[in-house]
Amino acid sequence: MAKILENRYPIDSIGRKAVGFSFPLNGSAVFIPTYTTREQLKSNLINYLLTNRGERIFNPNFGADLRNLVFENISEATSDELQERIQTDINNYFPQIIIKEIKFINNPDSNEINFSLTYNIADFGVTDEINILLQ
Amino acid sequence: MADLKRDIRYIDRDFNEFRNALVNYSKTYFPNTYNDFTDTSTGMLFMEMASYVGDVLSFYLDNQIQETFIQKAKQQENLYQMAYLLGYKPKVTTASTVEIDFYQQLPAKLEGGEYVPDFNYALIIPENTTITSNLSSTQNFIIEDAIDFSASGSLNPTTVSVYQIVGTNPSYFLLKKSRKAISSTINSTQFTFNSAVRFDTRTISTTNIIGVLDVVDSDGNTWYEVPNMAQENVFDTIRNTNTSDPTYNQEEDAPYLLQLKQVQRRFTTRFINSGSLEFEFGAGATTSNDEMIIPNPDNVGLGLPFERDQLTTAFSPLNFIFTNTYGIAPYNTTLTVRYLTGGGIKSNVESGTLTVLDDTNFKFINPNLANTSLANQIFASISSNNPLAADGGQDGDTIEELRLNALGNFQNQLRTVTKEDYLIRSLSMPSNLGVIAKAYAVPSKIEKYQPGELPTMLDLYVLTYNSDKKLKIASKLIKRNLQTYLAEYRMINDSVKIKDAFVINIEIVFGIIVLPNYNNNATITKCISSLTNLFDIDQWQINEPILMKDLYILLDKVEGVQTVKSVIINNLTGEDLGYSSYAYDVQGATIDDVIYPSLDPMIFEVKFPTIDIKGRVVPL
Repeated sequence: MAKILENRYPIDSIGRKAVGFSFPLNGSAVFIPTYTTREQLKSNLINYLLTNRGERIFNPNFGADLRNLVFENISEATSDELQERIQTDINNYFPQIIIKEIKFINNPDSNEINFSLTYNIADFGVTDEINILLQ
Repeated sequence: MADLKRDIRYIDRDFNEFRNALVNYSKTYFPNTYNDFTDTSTGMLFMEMASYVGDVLSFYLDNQIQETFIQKAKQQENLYQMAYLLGYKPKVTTASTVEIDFYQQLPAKLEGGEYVPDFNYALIIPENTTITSNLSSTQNFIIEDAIDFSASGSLNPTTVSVYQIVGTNPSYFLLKKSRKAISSTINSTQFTFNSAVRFDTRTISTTNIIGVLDVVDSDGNTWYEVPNMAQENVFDTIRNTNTSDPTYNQEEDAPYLLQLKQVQRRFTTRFINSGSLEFEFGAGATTSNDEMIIPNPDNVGLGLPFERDQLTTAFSPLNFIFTNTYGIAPYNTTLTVRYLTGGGIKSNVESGTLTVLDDTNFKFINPNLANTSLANQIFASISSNNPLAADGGQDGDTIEELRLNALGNFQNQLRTVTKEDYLIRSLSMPSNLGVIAKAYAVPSKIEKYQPGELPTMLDLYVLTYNSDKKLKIASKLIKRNLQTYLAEYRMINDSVKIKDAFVINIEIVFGIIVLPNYNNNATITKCISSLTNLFDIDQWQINEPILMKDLYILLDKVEGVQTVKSVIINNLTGEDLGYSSYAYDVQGATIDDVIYPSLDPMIFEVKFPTIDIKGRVVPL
């Protein structure tokens, strides 16, 4: 009987075929290719999280608006509202992502917010985490 | 994306097309380098940025191409430039004209056993005196000609009546004189020039500029306005007095003499936009003074370079001496510019309102009057009144009017040959002479002309506006101005009769079925608004038929309208109700859903759209 060892995106099986490039842009090459969908999804998530609403041309609803949080008074209510919005957006823009946890660690003394997102890639059993320090 | 309604699409690309093209390009040429084309990817962010730049550049390029065509251009400044290129001078406002009666009392004196007015107390009202409306202090009129109550003639008559009687003898007489006035205010500004600059320019920035009255420099020299700097001869009008020309002084029907004058001190003006008038001066030095030039075989064509003969040379009667100085550049002087502002639709003031006189410059004929108190009493007796409402005032050219007038003017080329030439020439009469709102030219029906021979009589039907921008019959004064104006352009053997067109007032009654979930009142209001726009008098010409099909289509397109059940047009008449006195059989003139105009030129007008357009919602 056949047994599924691992689910893979077809593009991930072609070694020299880049999916996209990683984000944030860095290094001397600036555009560093990503060769797996997992890497690219993470870059895209970071891109989404670091985009403010209205910044993307002709797509004013794209973005998590996280940077605006720095100027907000983070309460439990606003935190819940934000989590719900991110959840909805990620369901729309990243249908293959299943959110496991969203955390805001507020550090008002140093004017910092530590944002953390833990997620699964559906059908592939891959768990990953993104941490963003907003200050 | 920047998908505005553009009439001309030169690049014809928008954001989505650029974006799709970039995605296809990446897929074709970089299949191993980039494959993530989802909205969330950073690569798409860069592609969308590039598409955005392309979209904006495409839009502006399309827009710039569009603005080079007069038929499609939308920006006022560009249309002004193109209008000048085609020889049309745009109007930013049009002055209304009116005939004003001026009254003065004179004491009686006994002369030869008869009581006559004592003309020692006659006053002189100088030209450019301001008369203001008693209803609005901003509505000023000026008279072009001075009034001398001591002088009278067939062209300058004075009506004398007895004002007051003591016993059986008159003690005061009342003198009346009439003058044409235009709605304008005289403004003044100064341009200072130091060293000479070739083709120097200056700008006056204000609204409602009618035109330049005069320009005089520090030395008292007059500077003349010419249509273009290459034109160095201007028509000059001088009063027909014995000093000016003893030969024609007896011709009472020619109050002015027209002559040709070569002018070195000249300038052109052009409107940059509706609020800026630019002056441009010449480039030459002061080498010759202004002088009279009479065309003769020796001076016509003088200065023509490289011309061996003049058989095929084009000459302008206003520029038959060719030079390249383009007038002189002003230097070390200050030009005092007087210009007129005012006009507009509000300047069509009602009758009996022009009664406030500016008496600053009034003076007695005899400055040495002994009886000061009587002189003061007489001075205070001066009054004015306008028996008829002012008419002809209009706001500036709209974008569409600019376009049509400029194109028409280009075809016209300063001649009046076709009936369209007469139409355009009438509509472009200088604003200080009054404005013709509608004109229609048609060859008149002369019965006895030979086969193959064309009738040379032309009937020109005209109408003007009142202060509410409703059509009315043009006054005799406007018609006289039009006659004089056309005489300059018509062919010598053309005869033109200026007549009144007929105004036929109509009402529109319609019935519609409204879609479910739409508010009846709101839908009816939208329908009325659409019909009001359609019947805007600016959009209608004399002898234009009404196509009922257009009305049905218009109403059918209104949001909320399910079906147009009926549209009925009825004639409204009766001067007591404010309508035209002419009745029209609308039903009889309707053939195949087209309401045709009468044989006599007429125009349909919805005079009071708020009450003359009626709609109702009918059941299914």
